[in-house]
Amino acid sequence: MKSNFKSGLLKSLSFMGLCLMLSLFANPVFAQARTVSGVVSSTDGPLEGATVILKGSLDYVLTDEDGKFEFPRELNKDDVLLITALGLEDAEVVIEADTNFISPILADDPVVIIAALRTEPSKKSRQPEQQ
Amino acid sequence: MRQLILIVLFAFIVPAQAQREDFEHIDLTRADALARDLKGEDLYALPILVHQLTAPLETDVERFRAIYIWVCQNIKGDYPLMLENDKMRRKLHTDSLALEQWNYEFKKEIFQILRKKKRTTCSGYSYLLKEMAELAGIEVAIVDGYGPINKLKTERLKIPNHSWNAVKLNDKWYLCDATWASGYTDLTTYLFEFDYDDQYWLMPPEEFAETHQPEDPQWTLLPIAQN
Repeated sequence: MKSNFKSGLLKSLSFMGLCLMLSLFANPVFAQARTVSGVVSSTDGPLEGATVILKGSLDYVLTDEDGKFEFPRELNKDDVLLITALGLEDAEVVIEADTNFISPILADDPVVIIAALRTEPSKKSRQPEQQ
Repeated sequence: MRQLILIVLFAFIVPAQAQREDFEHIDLTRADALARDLKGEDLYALPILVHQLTAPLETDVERFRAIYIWVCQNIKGDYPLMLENDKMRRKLHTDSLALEQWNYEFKKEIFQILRKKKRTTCSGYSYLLKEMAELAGIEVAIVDGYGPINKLKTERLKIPNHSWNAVKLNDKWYLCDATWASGYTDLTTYLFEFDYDDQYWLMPPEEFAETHQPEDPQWTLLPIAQN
């Protein structure tokens, strides 16, 4: 009984291993990883300094002065790029099977600028921040 | 009927109790330390910064604290920018179209300066706090209103002159003001000094209302304004 269980476990483990190896080989064939580039714009035109980040990772790139970027790592189908810039709405782009260029436009985020600043040192700080 | 009364009562009582004491059992030193460790980071890759600030923390209040402290200790108030904005808003406050156009252009400038130089006015503070908190999955609102600073009396202010934040933690709204917590501008030199003031962190609504009058009274979070 025990050895039965063992060999069963061994079998399923080796099957899983086989699948894993196969998937490694198969992956590039079915879902071609590729370089994605693009141009990010606001309603005023190309946007410098927008952040393009691969969702669920810490990989990102900033757009250049013409709003252009090339993502620093190859992307696969169904990867999602999140594009953010201060003062504008975020955008998300899903990478499709044949995506290699994207041109998202970030919508305007309605903010009214108002301004007030403190001009005196704090008199009563309950918990002064330790530096 | 009794249930209804209970619900109504509850709705009135809950906001009034929303204050920092609710989180006394949570130790914020880890959040504060994280913010300190990331001092000097820039704003170019905001989602990364937010991740670094919040990923090791377990509760929303800690995550929000790390973001709040980072903003307070890294973003400088820009006094000339504030004066310019104030002047134009007063000048144009009867001409809504011109004001809108001015705001549109100025807004672009404001966010450029914030991103590149980490200097801003209160709108920049409250916007950045909201943006960063939202990246961490925390709901934050920008509240515009009146703050009687520079010995200005609120009656003299025809248009909102200040903006701060409300944050939803454990389904309750709380108030905070990163602009005034951050530091002050020395009016003899016009230089900004970081001078973190912890009293504006989740300040009790009654106390907050003494210095902050929101345009929409709902945001006082005081029971009297809730209907």
